[in-house]
Amino acid sequence: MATRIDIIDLTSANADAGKTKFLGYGYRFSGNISTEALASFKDSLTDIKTYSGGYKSNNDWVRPNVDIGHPYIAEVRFRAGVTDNVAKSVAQLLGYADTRKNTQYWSDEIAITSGRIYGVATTADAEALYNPLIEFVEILPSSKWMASGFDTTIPSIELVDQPMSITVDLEVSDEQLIELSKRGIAEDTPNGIRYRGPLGLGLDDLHCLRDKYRALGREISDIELETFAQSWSEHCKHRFFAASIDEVTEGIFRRYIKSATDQILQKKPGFCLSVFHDNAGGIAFGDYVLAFKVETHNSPSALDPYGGAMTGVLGVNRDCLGFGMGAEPLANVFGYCLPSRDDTREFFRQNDGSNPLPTSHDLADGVIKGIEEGGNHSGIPTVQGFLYEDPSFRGKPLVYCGTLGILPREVNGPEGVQQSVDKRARPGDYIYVFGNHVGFDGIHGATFSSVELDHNSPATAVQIGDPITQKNLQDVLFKARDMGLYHAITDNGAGGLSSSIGEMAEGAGGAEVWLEKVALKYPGLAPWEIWISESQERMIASVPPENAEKFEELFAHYNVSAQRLGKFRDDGMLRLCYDGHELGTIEMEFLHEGEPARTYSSKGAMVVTPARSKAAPKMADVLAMDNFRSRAAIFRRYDHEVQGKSALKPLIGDVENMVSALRPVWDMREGVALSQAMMPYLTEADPFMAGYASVDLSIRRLIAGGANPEKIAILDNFCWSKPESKERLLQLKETNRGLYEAAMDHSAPIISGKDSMYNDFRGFDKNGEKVEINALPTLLVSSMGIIDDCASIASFEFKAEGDLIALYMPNANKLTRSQIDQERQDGGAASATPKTDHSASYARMANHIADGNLASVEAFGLGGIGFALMRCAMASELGVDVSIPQELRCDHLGAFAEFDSGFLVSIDPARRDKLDDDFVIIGEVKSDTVKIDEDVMSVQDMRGYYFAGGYGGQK
Amino acid sequence: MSNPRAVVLTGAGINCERESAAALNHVGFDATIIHIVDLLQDSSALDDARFLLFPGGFSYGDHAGAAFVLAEQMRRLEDVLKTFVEKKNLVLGICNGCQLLLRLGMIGESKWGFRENAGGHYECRWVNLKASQDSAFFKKGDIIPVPVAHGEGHLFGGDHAEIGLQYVDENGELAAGAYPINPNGAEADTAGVIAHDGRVLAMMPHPERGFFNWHRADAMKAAELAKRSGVEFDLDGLTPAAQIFANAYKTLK
Repeated sequence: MATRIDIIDLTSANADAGKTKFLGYGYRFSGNISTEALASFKDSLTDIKTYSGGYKSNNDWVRPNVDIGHPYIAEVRFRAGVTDNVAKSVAQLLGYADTRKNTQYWSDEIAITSGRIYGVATTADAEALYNPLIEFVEILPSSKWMASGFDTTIPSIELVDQPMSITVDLEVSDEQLIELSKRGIAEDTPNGIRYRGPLGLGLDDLHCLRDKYRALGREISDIELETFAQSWSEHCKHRFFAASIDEVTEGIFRRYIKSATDQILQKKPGFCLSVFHDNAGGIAFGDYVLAFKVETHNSPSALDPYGGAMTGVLGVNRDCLGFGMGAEPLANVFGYCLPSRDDTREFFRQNDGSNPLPTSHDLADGVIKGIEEGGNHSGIPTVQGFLYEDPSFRGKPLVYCGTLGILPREVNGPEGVQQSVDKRARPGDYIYVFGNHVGFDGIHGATFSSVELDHNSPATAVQIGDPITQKNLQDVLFKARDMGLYHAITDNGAGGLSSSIGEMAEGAGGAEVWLEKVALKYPGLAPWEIWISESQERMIASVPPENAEKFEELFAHYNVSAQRLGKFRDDGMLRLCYDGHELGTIEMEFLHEGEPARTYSSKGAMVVTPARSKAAPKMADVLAMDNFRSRAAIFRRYDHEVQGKSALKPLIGDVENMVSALRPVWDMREGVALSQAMMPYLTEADPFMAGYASVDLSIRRLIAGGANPEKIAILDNFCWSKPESKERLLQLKETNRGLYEAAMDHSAPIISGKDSMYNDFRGFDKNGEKVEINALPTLLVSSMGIIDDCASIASFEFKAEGDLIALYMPNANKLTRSQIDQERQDGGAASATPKTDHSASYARMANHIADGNLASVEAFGLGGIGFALMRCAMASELGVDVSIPQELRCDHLGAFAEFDSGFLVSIDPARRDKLDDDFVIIGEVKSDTVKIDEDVMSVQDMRGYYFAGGYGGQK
Repeated sequence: MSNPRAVVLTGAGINCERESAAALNHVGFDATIIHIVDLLQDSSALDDARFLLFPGGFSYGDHAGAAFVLAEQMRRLEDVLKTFVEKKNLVLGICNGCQLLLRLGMIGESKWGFRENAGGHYECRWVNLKASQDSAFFKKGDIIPVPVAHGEGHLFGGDHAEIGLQYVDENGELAAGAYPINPNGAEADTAGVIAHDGRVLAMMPHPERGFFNWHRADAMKAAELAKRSGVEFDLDGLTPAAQIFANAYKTLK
């Protein structure tokens, strides 16, 4: 029997008939469900008086008691197998969800799906509502809907009968190996050859595997080859950071990142409690550990902006949950590099005008919404972030998601109280997977983010997050932690079980896995698919046998699915079994250390920057530029107060604060500050400085927020493009050298990092011409710093009319290139900026702040002194009257030259004597007019322009 | 005499239970966080409790409607809740907990509804409230700065005599629907509704997040200006929002 219920919001049904309007939800049911249950469900759905419900059983349609004012009505529904959170909750309500069963919200008897119903003016408007990779749409003239309603059928997954395992012949030509890597393992099916999706392995990797299996005297099995493809992927192994590049023979990671941290930790014993090896980096915070991790989710967001961003934030939340023995998420941070919303260029993955990229508009709306739901629904405040616009992100957006977490230094383990950062699976422990069930989601996600996006990019890489399942998982995880039930846990991220179990088995010395035990969303997955599926909201625990029963009881009690799917061993082998058949047998050591080393050269690459030619801008010109507009509307949609720990907000007077602070423990006066910085516009012109100055700015922002400069840790995220090109390699090497030197100068350890190397799009324009778009190579530096006493936070906005305004920028240098040059497509200065170590002057500044002398402190970056003045004025709704010294101005940029250092402060005139020789007084705070030399604008007008942009809207 | 016991509900996507319990404990309650699964199995925890708090969050993801699925589950405890209120105990629903109380019909006779914010999106910001009448939680005329964070806070359709809290500007004047002083377009600027002689309060804003002076959006400015006039500004001092919990404690003690 097929049945459906339609719930329409009466207030929307006749509003804005010319526009697209969300009207309500549709629910479809199949199977043996009682009419009474459905009728009662419909009634309860309309208990709030704004809704009216309709009901259709077979073809009997009783429509909601409302006339639709829109010409058409459309229902957007998920394709079969895509996570449908609404259906899941409804199934739970109706009592048809049993998490112990092998299918989660489609029980044996009942299938339930949900749809979103819209009123639209035209069929084209309806077509714009859905992402064909995961959804489809039914469009009806409203009159027809009123007469007969929407369809009642429920789609089902088309299952291909698959062999349990096949072997793959690697003794073939190089061309065939390249084809194998690009298209995947070929499988004979009744409908012809099916390719399983890209492996992303290099020819060197395949030669290495061929030699290995030749020596073993057998063919490699499909599940073994897929395992190597995951574990040796760029995403998991960071091949470029390990490779020898020019004189950096030990690789960038060892030379510049790890060595900086190793040297700094020698000087600061006890500050860092966990670096590099875990899911996040951790530092000491009283009796606690603070863990911080920032990830990118660029490729999934390019395909489905909403789902990609949402699974990005939920994924990095799990990195935090999986840190040490389990850290509670305290805060999320985000970063978007996108095209301008006004960028109307259309691109396609196919040359026949099909498979279009999302529009700039949909891209922005989608990622913003994804982070909103991922964070808000999980109860994790989103406290810091940025949106940076550049046309180079039209092909592939960058979406950064980060999470700060906290856990006690000591927790219960199976053997008693233990350090929370130490975890190790023991041989004999059972392997448990818990959380969501497994489908085709994200198969080949890890290998796919390591290749360029083109028309072969798999749609299975798209998924929707499920924050509520994850919140339930989190709640029960901390109960298990406090009960001391497990030896180790980790997140299930890229590569699925293959990565998480593979990594955890390293500690134990081996594992055997029983893949038939894994709970599936639907039947029909082959063992290799179960092994590498990236279905979200899952984690792995290593549980000693004596705790197994308690562990299972706890999870069953709170309705969180958990399955025992194997055992850790110490025979050095990873054994992959299905129904008693060992389908894969891999040496752990070869899996984790066997990948061939790579060597690159950047010889011959040059850094060339054309001269600047434009005239100095005024305030009004700057306010017209993409990256000098408000982002307030984004922050207002993100809950930044939940958990009640916010001590310094991301918005002040609706202007973005570049540093946020939290008090993670109410009883402690200490806090933690978070900041971010990046200078993609500088990477090509002065790559060393792009690294060095980004670290400096991120640290400087923390200091402005009251952090102790001795207690700062940083994270790196490299998003590169065309990494094989000599220019990009040189930029990568130089940016890393800058990162290294800045970390060393500021004694700020780099505690975690991630890289995403292929942010390139190769496709077609609407005429079918080939197009290649390469993202600006971008280093994001994210920092956290301890605030010794939150009473010393000054905040950046001016506090009172009549206060003195001063610059603090001893030994500051102008940067080679600025964001204004980037926006105006101008060049830069002739020479690179010399490196200056500003750490001593920052220590002095931190003392001024701790002493409570300053009324406001802003670390200036984008737009230099001029834009800092404008920001502080707009945030306080006060004016300024200042003169900027000639040597700090620039012919081409006026008051908006950017520097490698500098703070803008204001101070009560009564405390004028506190300003020593490091400060230069440039003017004072006025009531309502901003006057920078001869450039004048009222602060109200300025706020008007600033908030008029696409993300400033106060409404 | 021991401190009055409070029960704070959690589970199924509720996510403000910890700070809500911490706020209660800070003013003197002995608060216990109880999972919905456990409460449905055994509601005896409510027997000797004097205060029941339904915290904010996204119970069941707000799927099929805000607080909808949780309300359907809680109906199984309808009798228990009724008894709890009859015993002159206090009930507070915050944000998703407010929506839950409205769905359960625990607020007054007139049945308030709620819908999506007039702006069409989720909204997180600080607002000012004014108490419209006396209750166990506030005195008429109290001005309470507090954060809101919700997507469906547009209350409407109930009896205005039940209004407990209204959105006002910084001078205490009613918002008269003007955004962002009234952040969601609620009818009669309604932010909170009371029932049962002021012992049951459903409010959209989050007093537990605006509890200490250091939570305040204007904390740094207030501290700086206080310094200049020689007044002490205690960052760890309690805000007017915290008094909602403190007043409840005084009512029961």
